Amino acid sequence: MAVQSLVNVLVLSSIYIMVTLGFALVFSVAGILNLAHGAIYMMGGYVCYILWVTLGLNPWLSLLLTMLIMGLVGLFIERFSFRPCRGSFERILLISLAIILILETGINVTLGVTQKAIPDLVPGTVNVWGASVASTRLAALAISAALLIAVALFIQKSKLGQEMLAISQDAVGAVLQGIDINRVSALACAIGCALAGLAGGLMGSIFFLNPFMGGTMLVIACALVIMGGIGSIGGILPAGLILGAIIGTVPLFIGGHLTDAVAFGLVIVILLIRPRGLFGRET
Amino acid sequence: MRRMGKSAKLVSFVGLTVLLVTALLATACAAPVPAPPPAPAPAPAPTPAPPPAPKTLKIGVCEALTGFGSEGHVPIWDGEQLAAEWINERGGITINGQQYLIELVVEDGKGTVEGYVAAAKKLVLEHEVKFILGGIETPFHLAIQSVTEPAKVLRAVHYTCGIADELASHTPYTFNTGHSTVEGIFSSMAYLVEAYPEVKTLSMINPGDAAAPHLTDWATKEAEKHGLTVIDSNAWPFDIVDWYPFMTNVLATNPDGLIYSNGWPSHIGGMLKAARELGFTGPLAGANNISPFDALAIAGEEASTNYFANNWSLDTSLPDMPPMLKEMIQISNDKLGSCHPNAIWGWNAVWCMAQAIEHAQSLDPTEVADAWRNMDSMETLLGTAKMGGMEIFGVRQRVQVPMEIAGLWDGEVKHIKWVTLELD
Repeated sequence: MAVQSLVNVLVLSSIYIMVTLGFALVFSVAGILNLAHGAIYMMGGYVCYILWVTLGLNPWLSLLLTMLIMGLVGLFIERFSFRPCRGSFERILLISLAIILILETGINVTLGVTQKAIPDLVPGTVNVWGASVASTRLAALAISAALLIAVALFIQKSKLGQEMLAISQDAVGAVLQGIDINRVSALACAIGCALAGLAGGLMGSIFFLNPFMGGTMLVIACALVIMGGIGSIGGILPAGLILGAIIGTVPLFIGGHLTDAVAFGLVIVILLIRPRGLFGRET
Repeated sequence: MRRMGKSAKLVSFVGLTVLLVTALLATACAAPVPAPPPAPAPAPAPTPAPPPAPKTLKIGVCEALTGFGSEGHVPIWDGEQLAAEWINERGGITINGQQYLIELVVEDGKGTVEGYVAAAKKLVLEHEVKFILGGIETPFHLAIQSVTEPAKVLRAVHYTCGIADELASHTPYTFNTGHSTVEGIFSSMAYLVEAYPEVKTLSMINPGDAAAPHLTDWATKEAEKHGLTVIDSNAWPFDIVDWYPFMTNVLATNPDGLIYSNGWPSHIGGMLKAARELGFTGPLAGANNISPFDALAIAGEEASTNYFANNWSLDTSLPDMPPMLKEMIQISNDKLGSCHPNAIWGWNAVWCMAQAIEHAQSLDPTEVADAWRNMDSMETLLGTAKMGGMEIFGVRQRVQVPMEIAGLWDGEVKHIKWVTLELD
């Protein structure tokens, strides 16, 4: 059971990290608390379902196209929803809530409320150190790890990444340095939504899809970003491992229905000890 | 001869005027001189009085059209609408010669306690309905009940978990026209023993609600009757997404079989998939009704085996399929393009409520409830169902609808048998 639990924790953490990456990028870089991230993740899952299941495209191609489509959605949302409200937290909050309602209702009305599932990305199960785990979950673990490294390298090494970092540290200063804040924010949103879409497609394969599935993941994404430290992409890794460890092991000791309460109770304790998060910047 | 003075003339004039007016009035009011009676005509044939125009009977519907559980409630709403149309096409409900056509008024419970309370209040206070349909999950069932019972609104619920609060002497206006988890435990446990004699130990899986300990008690007692042992009981949170951690714990005790009490297809499909991926090959028995097709879609073909519950196979090729069920499936396919198993619950609720109202020949919920309680049986999609409920609930407010045992084997939905429990 210990080995199975360890494998469970690693896979669960990777899922949480993958879902959170896009949210963290938009929040930390563009400074937009995009509460519609969960709904975009959900929409990405359904887009992938339509491409993969309904249209019968290749699974990997479906995931790539999902990222592209959701990236375009991200550009649209940033340009016409967030950019006009930049600087106003209340307006962005309201816009995000409106996007959630529109997307959830739209999916609910057009595709129905019946749960849908995407077939396994990689069929079968694998034995890892004596523990049994679905191959799709291991694929998600690998993809998540690769994405985390890729995003971290992108931020640290690429010109666009450095511009994003500059804006997140000091937007006014970045503008004075000649950085086009609109362009960079738009690209950050596009990348963030593309990552959310990819996560939605993978989660649809591991779990299932329903129009209201974004809420739970949004809470987890917020928790990871805050726990990891606002402004720190790398902080998501230890935050994801901590939350995954808690949620993956609490059911072993106390009732499964108490998992969420205990997990987020511990998150609060961590934040009380370290208010800026594990790797957050001093303000 | 004396001449008349002025005053005398005036008096005369007035008197004459009065006399003249009186005469005129008498002439106007005088009955005409009756004409001579005509020759008697033959008596006309009596024409029947035209039937009174049909009236409308509003029946409220409280379902989760969005939010938690909507995957199961939306098809129920479809079934309710189909049943109302079917009943209206056959003349509706007749009470003391007056025809009533059913009009369903739906409010969305949104899959939350507060949503259901708000929906029920709107139906009772704004729409002023006296009859309501709806209620499955324990917390939401009780939420609706908190409104309907004090208001003395008669309610047909689709399902009960079998705990006292749901259906008892203090809920005289609540009737169960579907199934209950406790009866599901009885029938599934019996089939488990019959089909899997090697299974001796069971781990019980419940949603984390108030019904969990109660249902575990029922399952433990029933298991003992069959020579089985419930070695463990685990509860999952309503918002569970990843079943791996939970199922890892469930399987840690190495049970021969698993039995779950309640859940929607996403839950059942999720736990079945996780169990199989974690290496468990034993049977998963269920105590409630869900759509096995939806569970199959979630679990995937590879994991969908050795699972059964009181499900609906909708297999119209079965020679012993109840004719009314077959007709309903056809109607649903014709009108909606498909038929979801949960529509059976919706249809039964409307049909049973209509039969109870017509049997009572009254629109007073109290009178209908009393009449319903004293009925021997009523017609349902699965055949004639006896009234009962004393053994499990202590009140005679349960329409004991026959059940089907169906499940998933080798990635397909398969019918096993029809079951009618002999309960008081």
